[in-house]
Amino acid sequence: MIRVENVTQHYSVRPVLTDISLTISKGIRTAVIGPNGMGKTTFLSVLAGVLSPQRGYVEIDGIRRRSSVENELAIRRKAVFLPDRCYLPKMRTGREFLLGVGRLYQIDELRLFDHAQRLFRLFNLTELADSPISNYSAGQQKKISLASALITEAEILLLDEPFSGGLDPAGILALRRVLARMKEERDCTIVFTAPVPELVAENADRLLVIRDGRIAVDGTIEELLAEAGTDGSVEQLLNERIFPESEQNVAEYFAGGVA
Amino acid sequence: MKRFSRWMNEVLPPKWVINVWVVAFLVLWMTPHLLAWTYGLTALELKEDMQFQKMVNLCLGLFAFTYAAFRVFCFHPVFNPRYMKWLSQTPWTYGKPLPNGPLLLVPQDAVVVGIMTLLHWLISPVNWAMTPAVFLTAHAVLIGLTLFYSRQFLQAYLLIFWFSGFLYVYQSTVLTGLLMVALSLVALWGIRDTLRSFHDWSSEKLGNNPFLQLNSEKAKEIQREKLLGWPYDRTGPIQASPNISLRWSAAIASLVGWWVFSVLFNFPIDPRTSYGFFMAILWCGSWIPTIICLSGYSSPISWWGRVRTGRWFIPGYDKVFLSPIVVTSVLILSMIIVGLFPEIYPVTMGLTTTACIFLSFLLTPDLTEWRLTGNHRIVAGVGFGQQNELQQTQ
Repeated sequence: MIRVENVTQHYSVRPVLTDISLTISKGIRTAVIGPNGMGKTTFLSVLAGVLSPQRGYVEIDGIRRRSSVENELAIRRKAVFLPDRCYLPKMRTGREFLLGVGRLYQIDELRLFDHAQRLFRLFNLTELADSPISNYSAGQQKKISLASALITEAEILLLDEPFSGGLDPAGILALRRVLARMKEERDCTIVFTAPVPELVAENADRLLVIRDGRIAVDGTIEELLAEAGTDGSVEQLLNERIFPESEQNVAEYFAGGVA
Repeated sequence: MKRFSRWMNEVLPPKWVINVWVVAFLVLWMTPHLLAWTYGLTALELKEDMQFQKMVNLCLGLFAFTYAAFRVFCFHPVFNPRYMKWLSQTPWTYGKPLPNGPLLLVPQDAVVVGIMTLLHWLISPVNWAMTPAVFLTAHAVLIGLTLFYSRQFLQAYLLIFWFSGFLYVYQSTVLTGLLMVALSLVALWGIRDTLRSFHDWSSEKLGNNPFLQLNSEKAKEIQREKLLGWPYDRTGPIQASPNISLRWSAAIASLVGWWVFSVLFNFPIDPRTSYGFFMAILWCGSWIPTIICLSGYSSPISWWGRVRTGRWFIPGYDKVFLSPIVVTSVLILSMIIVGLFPEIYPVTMGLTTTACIFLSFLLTPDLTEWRLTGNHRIVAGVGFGQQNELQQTQ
């Protein structure tokens, strides 16, 4: 379980997160969506312990982040954070990289070798497994970084923009199914960000919309469907909440006589 | 003769080295005679010439140093990972002869150094004592370096500390000789303890240090794990950072302070010409632990944000600046003392150096604790020296 208590963060003067409190139960897939620059990545960074908030704190399974060396290491063993942009060791092969990450998380060697092989198959990277990462395309690099998060066998996955970065349809499909089965079979808690609601409606049990540093929408898919009523869809509802001015902006653009 | 040859072979360097020595000795021995024959001087006049003596001292000193280096580098398991690995797997214990030859000084060493000294005396009888002096000093210093590897810190510390004694007694042959003997005894004490605890430290070194790994694949694995890129290098569940205990901080600070005092006491320098140099070094040095802490770990809010929001001070982050601030204060105080009492400049600088180094260790947060619990923002990116190895996705 992840507990966020009164978290406030600002890098300069403008608050990026303002007094956010919520609880994410174990085994729930939570999607954090919102416009660019509205605090999604900051929120995930606070959960991941990458950022120490100005106020408030985060607890993971009852342990407060950064409260002591032992506590922080215990949290790091059970929660893995995958940023939107990783730095990968380009001279190493994909297999070497995955095995290195697995060893960092002290995964049993035999299980690790097997898991790495299955991940290469999952993301269609088998042929490239023993090639240096510098030979990978942007999408393939995204796949290997996703695989690195999965190989840790962490109970909590904090994924920043996992569906972006050049993933091909097969990769998106594989990731969607993996996230679903991680929840069903391993009871993993997954928090991920996405810029657009279309990607998340099928992949999340709970949706959080962060707008202007505050939570604008927080609910399960069922709750949002109920709110949307029979006339609309969740995507339409979210679009209205996240980008209320979009329709008006488009109308104003064409009203200006653009050819 | 064969028995003697076999006995000597235990410590002798390869034949080509001995051949080089012999040729060089012959050249040095013949030079005064040749020059005397050419210029009509007597060989004795040339032997007493200062330039000639310097050249002989340099060459023969180099040979004595080479022999000392050979005795340490080729016989000490620390410098030969394969030998160390193999030895650690044998039932060898302290007291039994080492398979590669003796590491402690043995009578054969006295024979080799004795012959070198005799030849030195034949060529240039003025400074013949220099050969055994160079051998013993070089041997003690090189052994001192290995003591850090084998965790004999006390003996290593004593060697570095007493080595400064040369600054005080170098003008007295007897005291220099006594000091050299004392240093050699400490070095021998260190080697004894090193060999006694060989199986303890060797297994640890072989397990942790990739440079001491016989299996190169294993060494590569260790290196690979260290270079996993962002985010694993900074958010992974293992954060082993070096840590120096309070006792050793005080010991290191005192040692450096003592050396500064010894140099300034024995070779007086005008404070006006050297003070700025010392201050700059100490002030810059006090930033090193802070910079290590800050590398990859930045302020949770920008400096402009601090000004605008009135949050001037973030205790959980700004604690890294405590050490340079306090060191700066100490340096200002020291500057005032030097201005008032220039005659005690060596004492002031020795104490200032000790205080600055100790405070830098004491006031800089523990690196592991800082990285895991500090009130900072972990910065995405690559560390120093990793730019060529890592590439950013997308």
